[in-house]
Amino acid sequence: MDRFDHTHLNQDVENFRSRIPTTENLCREIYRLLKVRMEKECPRREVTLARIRMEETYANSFEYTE
Amino acid sequence: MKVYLTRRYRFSASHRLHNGALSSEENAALYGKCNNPYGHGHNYAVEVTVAGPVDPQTGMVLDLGKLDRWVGE
Repeated sequence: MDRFDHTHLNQDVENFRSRIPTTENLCREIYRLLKVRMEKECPRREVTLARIRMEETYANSFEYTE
Repeated sequence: MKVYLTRRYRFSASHRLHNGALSSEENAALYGKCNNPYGHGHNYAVEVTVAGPVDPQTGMVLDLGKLDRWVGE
C-alpha cells in the first residue's frame, strides 16, 4: 500500500497514468500486484490470493476476485 | 481443505475521476462532484483475503508478518 498511501492517484502513481483511478480499477490493480508477489513467494501455489475488497466510503465497497 | 484468512489495511489517497477522451461537459455530467479539478480524498479500507491449507506445524494458513510485508509494498 505504500506506493498509493498519501498520494494523488492521478498525478503521483505510475499505475494510473493511462487508467482512471476509480476504486473499481484500484481494486483490480491491488489484486494484480499482490497476485504477482504471492506467486513469486509461493511458487507451489499452496497459498493463493482469493479476493480484494475495498471500502471507499461508509456507503460504497467493491470486491474483485478471479 | 482450505481456510480463508482476511486482513484489513488502510491508506489515504486523493483522485479525480476524469476521462481525457471526453469533453469537460461530458466529464462533469458523468462524474459530478468527483470531477472537480483539484480532486478529492478517501480513507480507503482494503481487505485482503488469502486461501490455503492450515500448516500442520504452525497451525496457520500464512504468517501475518509475511502478508504485511507483501501488502506494504
